[in-house]
Amino acid sequence: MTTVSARPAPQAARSYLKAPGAAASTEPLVAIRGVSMSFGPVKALIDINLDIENHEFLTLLGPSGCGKTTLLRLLGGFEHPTAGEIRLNGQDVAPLPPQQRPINTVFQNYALFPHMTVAGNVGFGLEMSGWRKPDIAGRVEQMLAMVRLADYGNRRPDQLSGGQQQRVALARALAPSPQLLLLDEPLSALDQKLRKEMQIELKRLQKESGISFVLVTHDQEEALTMSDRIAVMSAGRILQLGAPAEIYDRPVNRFVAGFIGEANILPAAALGRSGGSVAVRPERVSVVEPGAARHRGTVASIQYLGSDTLLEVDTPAGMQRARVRGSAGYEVGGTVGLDWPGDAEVELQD
Amino acid sequence: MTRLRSLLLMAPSLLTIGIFMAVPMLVALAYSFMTSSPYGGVQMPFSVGAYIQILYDEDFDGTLAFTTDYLMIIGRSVVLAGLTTAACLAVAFPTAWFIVCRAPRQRQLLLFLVSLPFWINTLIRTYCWVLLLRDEGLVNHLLEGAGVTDEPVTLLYNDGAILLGLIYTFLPFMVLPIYSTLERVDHRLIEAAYDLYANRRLVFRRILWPLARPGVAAGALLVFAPALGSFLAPDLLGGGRKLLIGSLIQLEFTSGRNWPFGSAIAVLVSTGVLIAMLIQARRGRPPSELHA
Repeated sequence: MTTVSARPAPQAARSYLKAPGAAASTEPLVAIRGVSMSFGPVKALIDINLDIENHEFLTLLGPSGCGKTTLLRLLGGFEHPTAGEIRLNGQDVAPLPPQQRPINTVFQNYALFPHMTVAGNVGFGLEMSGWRKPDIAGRVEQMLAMVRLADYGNRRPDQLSGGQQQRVALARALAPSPQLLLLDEPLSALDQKLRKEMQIELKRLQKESGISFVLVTHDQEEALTMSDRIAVMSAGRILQLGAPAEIYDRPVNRFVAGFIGEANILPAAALGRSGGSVAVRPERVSVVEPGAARHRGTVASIQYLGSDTLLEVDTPAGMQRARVRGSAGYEVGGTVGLDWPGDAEVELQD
Repeated sequence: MTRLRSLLLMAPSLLTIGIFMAVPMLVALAYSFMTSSPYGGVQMPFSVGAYIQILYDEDFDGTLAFTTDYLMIIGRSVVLAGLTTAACLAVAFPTAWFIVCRAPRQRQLLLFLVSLPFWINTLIRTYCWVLLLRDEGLVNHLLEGAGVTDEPVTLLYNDGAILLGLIYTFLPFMVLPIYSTLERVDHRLIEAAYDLYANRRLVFRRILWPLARPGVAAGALLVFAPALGSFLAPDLLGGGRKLLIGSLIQLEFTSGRNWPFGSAIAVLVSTGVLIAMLIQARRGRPPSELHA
């Protein structure tokens, strides 16, 4: 089982966002405790323990079927756990339906109401929670300005581009000032360039609103650029939880090492270490003269990547990849030496 | 060349519409402006007498007296067809939603069950209601057996029986179009509405109902129009004692031997339905077209 330690609450926690009667400061915004979820015989989540802090951007990262979307749906209230507690400000919300949680969702493909205008969509949550008409209009205007769609209030969702629909979905979910915003693969339908822009936009909105975001994605690059913390999931469990750099530099096992970035996995014995296996990132590997090198092999393939070149080198310890600057003149079949600093070696638990 | 090609390609549909829709309606229209022949059928000269007859009784001396007899029949028919439509909607919407929420394989089975009555002749199915509802019928046997009543309750030959028969006959025409619109409603829209603090009632009113409206409108027309002109249920279950439009038209073409008058009423009803359809077609356009 993976135990996930509670991170201390950020110093800058702004008190105005806390619900009245919020529990003592040691209690995180959301505390997920021993949550399991089964669909018939299928176990989607197994004993999940996770804290979500105030004002943080947390990403649930994993391949499809790892349980990340199920965990998000449990937070939203669309499913209810088979076992365990989900505490929001100290109160167990696991049995509550979505409309009774101060949590909003940005759905995959946005789920904008096609029969309402953009303003109608953004104001829907306010209207449902009993805001007065003039207040709604003001808030909608403010939200549309925030997502840079100020003049689009009277349009219909089908008159907007994918990126614009995405921003309407964000404005709609943020309008009622939820305590937690859930994002289900929000960028997967956008093209590469737009996705980059929206990553920056999302991060900005999260900082400006001060609301905690939980993002579900299978895109490791997205997770690395936006998150304060990443929870890497596989087969219904959280394998590792930590800051992006921590996860990248110190993956706990083979799966995490391979899923986030690329990694050469070597048997520990080949490096004179004890334990199972060791991961080395290809960009930490330098290609040197064969004579003095710790590892030697023949170049199996050369991939030119523009700024970098990726070499695959066949060594006695297995195939190793080295990512080097520029396009220095290596050739397939040539003998090269490989070397890396000691701190590039990460022991994996497996 | 391309004009000819497109005309040729359209020919089958144009012919179908022409032969099966336009021609009968034009024939009815023409008959309605002719004079009845004593042995049925129509003859010249042209006359608007049939339309006058809807509103005025002609006395033997040729004077016209205003009569509401036929207006009453039309009114009763409209009310009955309206009630049928409302009742069908009330039953069909939950039914359609129930089917949409089942697993795909169950849906196929349930849809088959909904359309099952189409496989059996309407006349036979309506007669079955006579057998069920008559004094010695199954319903009365059950009521007596359960001790609810000692004497048979008169269930047949009244407006209630007609209404029941109409609802039964036309219910599938409401279920199927509503089902087809509800099936296309993205389930995440409902989740999104709940997520934004709507309760069940508001999810229905603000999301499901507006999105299902095209299906509801189509179903309402498919039920209302034939219910308005139906004569089988009124005849068998109503005993033909109180006339409705359908039985009136049928009567005028058979024993009444007044084809122009039957045609005139048919034209009147068709015109009413057509106008309703036109209004619906205008309202039913996708919102983007209206706001473009």
